[in-house]
Amino acid sequence: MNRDMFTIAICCLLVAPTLAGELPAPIKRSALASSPVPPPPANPTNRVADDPAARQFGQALFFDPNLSSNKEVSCATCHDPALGFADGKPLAEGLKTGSINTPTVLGTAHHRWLFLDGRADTLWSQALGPIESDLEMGGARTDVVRYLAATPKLAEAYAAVFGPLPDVSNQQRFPDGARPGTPQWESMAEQDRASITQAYANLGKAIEAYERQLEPGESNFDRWVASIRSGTRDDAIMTGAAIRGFALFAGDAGCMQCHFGPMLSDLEFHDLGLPPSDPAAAPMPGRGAGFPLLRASEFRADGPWSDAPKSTKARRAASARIGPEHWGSFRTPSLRNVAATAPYMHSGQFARISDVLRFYNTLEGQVRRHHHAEAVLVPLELNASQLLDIEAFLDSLTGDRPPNSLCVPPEGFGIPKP
Amino acid sequence: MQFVSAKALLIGMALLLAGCASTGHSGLNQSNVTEDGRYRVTWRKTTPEAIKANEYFEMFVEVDDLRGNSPPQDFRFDATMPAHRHGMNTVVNATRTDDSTWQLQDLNLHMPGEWVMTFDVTDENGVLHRASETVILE
Repeated sequence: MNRDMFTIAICCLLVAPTLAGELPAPIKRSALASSPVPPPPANPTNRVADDPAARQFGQALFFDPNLSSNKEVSCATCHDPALGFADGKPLAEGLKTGSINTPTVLGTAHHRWLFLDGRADTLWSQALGPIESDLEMGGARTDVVRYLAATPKLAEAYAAVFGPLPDVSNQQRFPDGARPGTPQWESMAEQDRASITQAYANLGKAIEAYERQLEPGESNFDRWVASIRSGTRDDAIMTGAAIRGFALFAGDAGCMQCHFGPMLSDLEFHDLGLPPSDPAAAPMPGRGAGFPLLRASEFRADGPWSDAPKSTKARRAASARIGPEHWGSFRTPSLRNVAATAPYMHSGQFARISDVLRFYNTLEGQVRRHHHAEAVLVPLELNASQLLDIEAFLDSLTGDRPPNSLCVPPEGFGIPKP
Repeated sequence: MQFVSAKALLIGMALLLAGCASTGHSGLNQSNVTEDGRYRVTWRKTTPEAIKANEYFEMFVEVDDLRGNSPPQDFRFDATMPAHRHGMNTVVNATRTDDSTWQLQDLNLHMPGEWVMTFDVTDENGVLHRASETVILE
């Protein structure tokens, strides 16, 4: 009997009987703390975050490619409902290929920081970034507002939530292609820039209202935990492998150091020393670049376009800290629906979950880029069977898909299905 | 995500046996003495009442001069995870509310595991006095 087989046999002897009976108390506590997913936390910085009319307007915007410079790229291009609201690609592809893997939008309203480098602190401010990014949609806020004004259904929908759009008919006052950093923007009067930016911020708030409905969905894991909570634990809901995998995940493997709570994420930033997908490329600073962008953002939760700049939510950006250990760190992803959102890691380094687990198991190829790097990871040294068990647990986190009505453009806006 | 009471208790007992004044972490009005015995630092959790991993909280800290009656010049709080080689991801907002009391806001111990909280008191001569406390979050 080789070492792996021996370990499997021991595990079967020790673990299986234990899990077949009463769950070990720490494992049970971890299960109960990991499910169900509560509603997204309130966001007072967006007064229309849960407004039904804003939700529908935001859904139209999410699927509308006319917000982009070439009229071909929408939010749904990278956040495709058919691909778990991600894109299935290692790196995001909008107008150009980016340097970051597309995170899913499912459950995104639970995150404390948005973008994998945390450059935004609200979902509405996140939604505004890609529209004006040359890598993604390449739009400009004046063009977007002009497009809305020229599209009666969208203008009506905007007005129903926020009041009338600003009058942008004067091309000299509101030149095409005007966004911060462009000469056109600099040519505009401060008051005109403010009115356009207010309208632009409102679009982000409507998109947030739509995205807040995109919850991870109830999974087999949630159903299993519900049975534990009710006192009628039903292991038939999960596979035996998935239950053993959860026990490892919450126990000896230590995955819950970072992946805990209902979203299975600490919502913060870590540097795993991942091997780069392109060894010739410059190392990515992650939070080291995202933090100054957050600080400089006009759309911060405590900024002028926030609906509650003095709220507790708004305090988070003001109190955020950057340290040497944050260089190269990225936000801990939620593991909800993880099986549906390959490839993995911030640069899509790993094609399959098994590749991710293999990295954690050996740390082969890990790159320590500086001596300030944190030291959370140690090789798990699990056997093949245990790795399969953890993978089975991760599979059990796949939730019910959002209603079909949320996965297509809303009726009546004339927006084609992606 | 409450404290791991058994381990915390063991650490607390060890500190008590070593002559420290640690009183554990699960309730209010916990205190410790700086390493040189000059100051007693008492901290009181406010919102929420128990520290949980990755949940923002606030504390009031009172600093008593055990050898005299000079108010401290300054007070600083920090918390780190030595095993992980990182600290908090927040800048603690410390507001002095009277000669010997500080209100600490924006605290967040964002991961489970062992954290070391440090309470640094600067005396009237600029000398630093440190009390520390280990807490273990589940």
